[in-house]
Amino acid sequence: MNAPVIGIARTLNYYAYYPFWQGFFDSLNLKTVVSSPTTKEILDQGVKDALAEACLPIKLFFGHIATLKTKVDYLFIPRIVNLNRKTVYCPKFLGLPDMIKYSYENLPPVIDIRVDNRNLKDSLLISSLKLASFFGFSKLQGFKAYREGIRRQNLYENLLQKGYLPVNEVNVNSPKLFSVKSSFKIALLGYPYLVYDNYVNLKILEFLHKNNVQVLTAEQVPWPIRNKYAPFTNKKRLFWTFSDRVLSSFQYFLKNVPDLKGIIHLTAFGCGPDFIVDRIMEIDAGEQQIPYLTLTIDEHTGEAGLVTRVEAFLDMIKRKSR
Amino acid sequence: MKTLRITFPYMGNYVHAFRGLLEDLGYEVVMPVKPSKRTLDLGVKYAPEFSCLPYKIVLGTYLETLPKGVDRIVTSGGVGPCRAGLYASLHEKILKKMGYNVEFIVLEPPLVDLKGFYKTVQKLNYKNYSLWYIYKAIKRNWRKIKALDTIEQKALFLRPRELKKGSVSAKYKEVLQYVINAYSEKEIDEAEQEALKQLDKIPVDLEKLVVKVGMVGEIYVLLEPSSNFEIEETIGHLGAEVKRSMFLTGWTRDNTLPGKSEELVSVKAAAKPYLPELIGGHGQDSIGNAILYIKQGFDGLIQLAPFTCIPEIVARTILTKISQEHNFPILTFFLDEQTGKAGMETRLEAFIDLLKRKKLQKLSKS
Repeated sequence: MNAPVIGIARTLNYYAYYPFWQGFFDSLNLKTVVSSPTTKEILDQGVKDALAEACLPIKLFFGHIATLKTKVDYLFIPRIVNLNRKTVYCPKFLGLPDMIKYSYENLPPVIDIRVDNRNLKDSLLISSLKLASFFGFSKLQGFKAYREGIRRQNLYENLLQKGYLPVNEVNVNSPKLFSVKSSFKIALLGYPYLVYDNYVNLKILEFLHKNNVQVLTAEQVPWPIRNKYAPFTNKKRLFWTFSDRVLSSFQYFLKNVPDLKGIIHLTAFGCGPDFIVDRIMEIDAGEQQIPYLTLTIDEHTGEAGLVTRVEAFLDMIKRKSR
Repeated sequence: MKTLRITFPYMGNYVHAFRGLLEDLGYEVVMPVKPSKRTLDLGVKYAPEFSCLPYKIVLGTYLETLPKGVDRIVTSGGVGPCRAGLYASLHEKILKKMGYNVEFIVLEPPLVDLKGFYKTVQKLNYKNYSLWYIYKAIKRNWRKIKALDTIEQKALFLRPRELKKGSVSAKYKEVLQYVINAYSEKEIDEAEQEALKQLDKIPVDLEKLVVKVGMVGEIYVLLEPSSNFEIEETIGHLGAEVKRSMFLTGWTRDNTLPGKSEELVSVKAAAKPYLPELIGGHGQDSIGNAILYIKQGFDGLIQLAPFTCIPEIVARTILTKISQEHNFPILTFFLDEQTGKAGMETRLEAFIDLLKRKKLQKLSKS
């Protein structure tokens, strides 16, 4: 029997946690296939398959799964609930395996192991061991695979903190694109699956790069620092991991980057948590008189229109500082 | 000591019990106005575009009420992952930005942080009443909420069976006042009995073919009729009996007292095969209740969800499959400020018609 092929979607958690899973599967010599970078066809398929009211990222996820489902033996859609013991993922992430299972017929088996670091039973380590034993490996092999995953994940997070921008591809071994260093600093805030997906972000990273703008992203602020900047009012923090990451890094940039020229919030149509994130940032940035731009992406957004708005935003900043 | 002026979000008949409790605590209550078109317009104007309908209505309510002079707003919190848990924080930020200096008191679920809950209650209790006094006040107004729920359920049962259209709604409105005006537990008891007695006098046809429709969804649009265009009344007038999955009595009990009620346990168990994860809001409840309604022989299901409501979107995706598997009609309304009453009524008419035809077919076969 041939070794099974495990399919992973190149969106949502991909830009955040792929190195861990890749390290894990590599260590066990299990073959993985990642869906190709997002294209118009993938997005169109997702729009067709998902509920009309779903947000763009979920539609995108459906599209990626649709391209994978005939090519692999398993679909890997772990139910990542909590990793940092503080925040959980958006409810749509939590229901992701179920939404997929009940939306497509004839799916290969979905691996939906649950990861919740708030309790021992579902912690990343225990879930990894379970996953290894599901494929017939020993606990020791599973533990080694887990260690390799953690090693690569740490490497990746260090790269991100140094300014690595993983455009379309998360590659720890030969990271390609580094942001320019420049005194013209813009914080580009948004979820990793929007900011680093070159189709979804309508090439805004490339555009900023070409214009010699240094891009600050949420992933550049390490967790222990971000954690201190998390609460916003009533000592409450945002419930959702990626939202919490955006808002806390925003607070950090606002207070610690004196030459911050502006903030761009990249958000997706229909994103539930983002209206909260967006309004808080808009109010706070306004109070500090830092230029703030919200870019909302939907399936109809065109690159030209978006670039024009970013251009105008940069021009406005340049005029202002003259 | 100056008497503080307080207000709270509007939510169904319950506002009368909230009012009673806060008056007992020594507040002058500034009653929120029943949400109208103007309320929603105000909310839409100042709320972020993608916030959900309840968020907009509640913000609109505050904006209508605050000019009357309000010192405090008391509202509920939440620990996620539903967005509603952060609404108070964002409302506060937006209102501050608009120049309103009002103090928010946010009640978080006591099960999560008992000490924090106690502190909040003490803050709310600015006149320093004894705990015994507060306990009695809560008990009294809790009794009122239960009476309001009982009468409402009676009206939901009678409405599709009334002989003269509109007679139940008219009488219901009238007898509700009995309970609203009652103060002591004894008075509430008597008012409830009298209200039920009056409702029972309405001429009805108990033999009539009535289809039973379950109703699930997000709590605010379920409980506040102005947010759903009085959908339950409309359905009743179309000759269908509505069973709502959520009343404040059940919800509050499950969120404040240790140990879960039997209903809640079975709802979660029923949802598990389809959605094993608690996803916040009432997404899992929507699935679980759907399954229970199918088991109980209901004819159909209506799901109410605010547009962009994440848990309900997850639920809807799975409900589609449940509907197919069980040959069980499900109609979902995603409500936003664009939703119109006429369009909704048309869809409801067609849906209830379908349920009736299905039921007749089933009856003629057996």
